[in-house]
Amino acid sequence: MGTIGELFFSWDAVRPWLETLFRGFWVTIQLTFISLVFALTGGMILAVMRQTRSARGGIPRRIGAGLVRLLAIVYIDVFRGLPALLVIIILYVSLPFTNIPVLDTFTGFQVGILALSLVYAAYLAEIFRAGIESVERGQVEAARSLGMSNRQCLRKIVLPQAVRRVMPPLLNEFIILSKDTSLVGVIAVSEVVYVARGAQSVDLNSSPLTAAAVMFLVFTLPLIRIVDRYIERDRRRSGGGTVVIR
Amino acid sequence: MRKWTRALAAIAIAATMVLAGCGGDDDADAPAGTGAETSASADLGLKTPGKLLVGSDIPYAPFEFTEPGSDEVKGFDVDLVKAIAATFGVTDVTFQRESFDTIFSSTAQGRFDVAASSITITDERKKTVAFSDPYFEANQSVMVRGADAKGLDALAGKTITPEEAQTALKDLTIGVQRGTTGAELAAKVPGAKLSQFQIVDDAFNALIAGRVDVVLNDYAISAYATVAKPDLKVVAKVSPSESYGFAFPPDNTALVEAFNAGLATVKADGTYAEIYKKWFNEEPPAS
Repeated sequence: MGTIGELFFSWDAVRPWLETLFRGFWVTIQLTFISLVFALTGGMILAVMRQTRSARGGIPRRIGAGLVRLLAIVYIDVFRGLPALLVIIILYVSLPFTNIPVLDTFTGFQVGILALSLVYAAYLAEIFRAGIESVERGQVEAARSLGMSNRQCLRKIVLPQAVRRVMPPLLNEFIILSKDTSLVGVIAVSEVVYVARGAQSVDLNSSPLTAAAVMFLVFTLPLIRIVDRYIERDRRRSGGGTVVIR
Repeated sequence: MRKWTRALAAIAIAATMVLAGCGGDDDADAPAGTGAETSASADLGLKTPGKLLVGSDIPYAPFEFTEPGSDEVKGFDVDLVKAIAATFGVTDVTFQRESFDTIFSSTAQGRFDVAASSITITDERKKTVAFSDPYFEANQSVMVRGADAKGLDALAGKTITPEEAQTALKDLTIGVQRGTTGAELAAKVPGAKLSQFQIVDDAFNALIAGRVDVVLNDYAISAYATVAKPDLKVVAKVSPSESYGFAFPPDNTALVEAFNAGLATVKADGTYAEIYKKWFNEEPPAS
């Protein structure tokens, strides 16, 4: 069936597909960044919800805080336990029949973003939680004794430190998210792996797949290097103390 | 900075080695496989003597599919392959799942003995695999939602040419299964948006959901689907008809000949007509 060079690295086989491939990669980038924004927002909200505690106040307030916490825990556990592919397929095949306004007219692209955001919000929430818990209890006590409210303390003392500490695992998750966008291809969204596979099935030549691989590497390799630098810098500065999950 | 570049280079080298390694494996496998076949069963070149391994994209009802709660593959192709295999004394027939868009490269590489998957014989595909004689005449068909036919009702009951189909479907969103002749036809429609699915049923469901306007697919399969999915209807057939054939690794002429002889036998003794009636509820067209 031809040599490895012809099968995987043939420029002639890639050239006619190049524009399609770049358009596909643009879809991949869009999926990645839009999902990231939603997942970061959702993840932060979930992480804070999970930290909700009410030491003062009456019983109703304590029950309320407990419910909020429970809700966050259930959400995070469920979505951490589900394969992203399954979430994508379930949403795609069932949303149009749900009669939920707006959601039932979602395109494949929008369903992909929704599914990835739902799943990654759970992952990111766990990372944020680890960050929040890594801030020493003493700082919180100090802030409270200076007269800050619970909310002020969270916003001004805990979260800024937490976010900085979890940068490496967040970037890691971002890289994984960018790769998981290829799952959205199953619902006929023209991301780069999907179009490369289409090209391969027409020409029976794998070079478009190689081209897709190269596009991914151009995107992910610098990120991987940045993560490593972050970790090294943090280690130098504090002798440990970064949080790495998964 | 230097450490940076060195690390990048290391990753690049590692990646190349992995890629080359995979390619090398595939390359080494093919000749070894063929060698084993010829020595083990010189007459038919089966991967395992006495056993027929069939590659098929399942589900594609009524040609190959599984019923709820069962792993047993059923359908027209299944019955026909078993009947043909019986004519040359092979009763152990196993159907193996293979995605349609990779079925031709996998067949050519000899991952199974034969591909039986409602495969239309085309000149393009003949460059990669060997085909048996035709065993089924199939039309492409235009399928729409009953509630919103996008003006294609005008075609109802007609048989149209591919050119007429291209004009009629202009600027619509067309659902197809990737790698099929329906997908090839859809790609030629001017201004159309293509949604290519891995499984043809996903295309049918996308049509019900209103994600696509129309589905281009083999007539027999689409017509069968409308029984279970009454929201859908097939408005027109596209001629000229296409012929289904079984696909083989290009070097295994012995098995192709055995299949052709077997097909002639089952057609002559009425087994073919029986199987045809079982799945399509009508007599096979005179050939």
